[in-house]
Amino acid sequence: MIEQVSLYTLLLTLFMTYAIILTYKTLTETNLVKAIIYSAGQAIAYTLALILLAAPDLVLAYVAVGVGMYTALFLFVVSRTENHEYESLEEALKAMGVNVDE
Amino acid sequence: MINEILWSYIYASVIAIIAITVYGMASRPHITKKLIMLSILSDTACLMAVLIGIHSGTIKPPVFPGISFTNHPQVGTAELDVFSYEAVDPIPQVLVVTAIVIGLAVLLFLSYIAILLYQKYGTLDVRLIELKREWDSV
Amino acid sequence: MSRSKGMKNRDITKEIIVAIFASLLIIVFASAILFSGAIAIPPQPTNRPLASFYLRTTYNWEFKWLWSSSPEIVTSILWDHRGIDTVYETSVFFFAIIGALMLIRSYKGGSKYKAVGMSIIARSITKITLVSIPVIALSIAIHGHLTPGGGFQGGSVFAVSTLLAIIALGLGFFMERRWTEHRLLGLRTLGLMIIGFIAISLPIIGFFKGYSGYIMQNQWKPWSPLGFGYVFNLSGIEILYSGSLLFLNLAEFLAVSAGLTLAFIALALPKEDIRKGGGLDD
Repeated sequence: MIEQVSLYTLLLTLFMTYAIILTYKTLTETNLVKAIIYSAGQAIAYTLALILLAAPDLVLAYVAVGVGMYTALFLFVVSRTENHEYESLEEALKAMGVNVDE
Repeated sequence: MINEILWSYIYASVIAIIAITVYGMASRPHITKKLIMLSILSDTACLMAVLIGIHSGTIKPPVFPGISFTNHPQVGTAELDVFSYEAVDPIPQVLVVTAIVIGLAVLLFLSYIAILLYQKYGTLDVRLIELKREWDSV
Repeated sequence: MSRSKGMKNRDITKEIIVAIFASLLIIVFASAILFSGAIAIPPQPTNRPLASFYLRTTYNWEFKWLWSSSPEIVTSILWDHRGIDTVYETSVFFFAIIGALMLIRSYKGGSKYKAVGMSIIARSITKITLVSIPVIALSIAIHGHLTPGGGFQGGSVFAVSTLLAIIALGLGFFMERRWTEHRLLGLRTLGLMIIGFIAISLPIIGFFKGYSGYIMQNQWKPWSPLGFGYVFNLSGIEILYSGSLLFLNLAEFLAVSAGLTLAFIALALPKEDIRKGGGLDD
């Protein structure tokens, strides 16, 4: 029942596991700079998977665009706007100075 | 048996990432978090298109090897038979190059709009913008 | 304020509805793909017939009716077999650049920025890599019809090097050399005009000679005998330029690098200039 499993399949499952874990951590993180760094790690996992799938044009395009430009673009947006994401509405109103006590 | 389990896991993980990002776009209240999830969603769709194009066995990229500016022998049907038996499908890769460019263009435009929204309302939380518009129209 | 309690109840119900809808969407999507035959577990043993057709006829010197004279199958499909898709994709990218001008539409450029960047170690290393990265980007674009690469890949690598220069050397590095937005927009439009001119040149020549030509046609075909040729004889040495692919790659490299540089210079301006330039305070 256990035939020969190639190294190729094992490496591909490893990179896809990295991608799932990093995507979930991007979703639940409230400090936006940390979330952007997690999404950069996920883009690196996708680049490794694309090398294994024999697509060299896509690797060149994706390394420049996915790892470099998306991270820099979101960091520029965060530096021109705010940095923190509030989960519930009371915390957001409290941070703006509105009196919420009930 | 183990081979089939691993390949099912690979396809299921791509679909799981699509599910996580669609849920994240709908439920997170901050606009920058929605933009990050949108970028991950477009990249995952491109990866899934490339996954459909491969075949089992030896995989080679779809480039005929050994050609340069001055060294270009006349290639006939015999060598092309071996080449077309091993190379991967080139058509999904062409469509994905176009998709990456268009995804980058859409995200650039949306982030400029996000910066202008912050100047107008002072916040990027969707619920607070809704409250401000209600209070201003009263 | 009784608003906050009402908001909490509405949040939980909305989240449950969103989660149920998303999971239903994903289940329908996954079962449609799995049971329609597009995915086989494990992958299929041979290529599909359409892929086999493209792999056999693109670089076949014995049957020159359907070829595109380039051993790089992905670039030849991008610019020759499906060339009009790429022209439309380049024009969609143009609209994003127009969004950049929306931020700075009443901004008068000036040279009042000094080149203040990071420390002297980061600045020296960035100046060294600022020579080598554009050379690699130009090489990727020129060899686009022989090795993996092409116009868009080379253009985005060039834009990464200008991004490094903006962060490490300061915005004054570009303002002192007068890289204003009008000049970058002019370079981008020049690249697009070269692509458009190459696209419609063969039908116009065919109209005056009595033949019929296609838009974005590359090589000679028996039913439209006009083409760009494929070798160039330079004192006994034959150089393989694959028809119009070399010029299209160079024009796309120019257009993409100028456009992305403009987009990132518009993002890197200080906050006061963006606020005055957007025109929202009037």
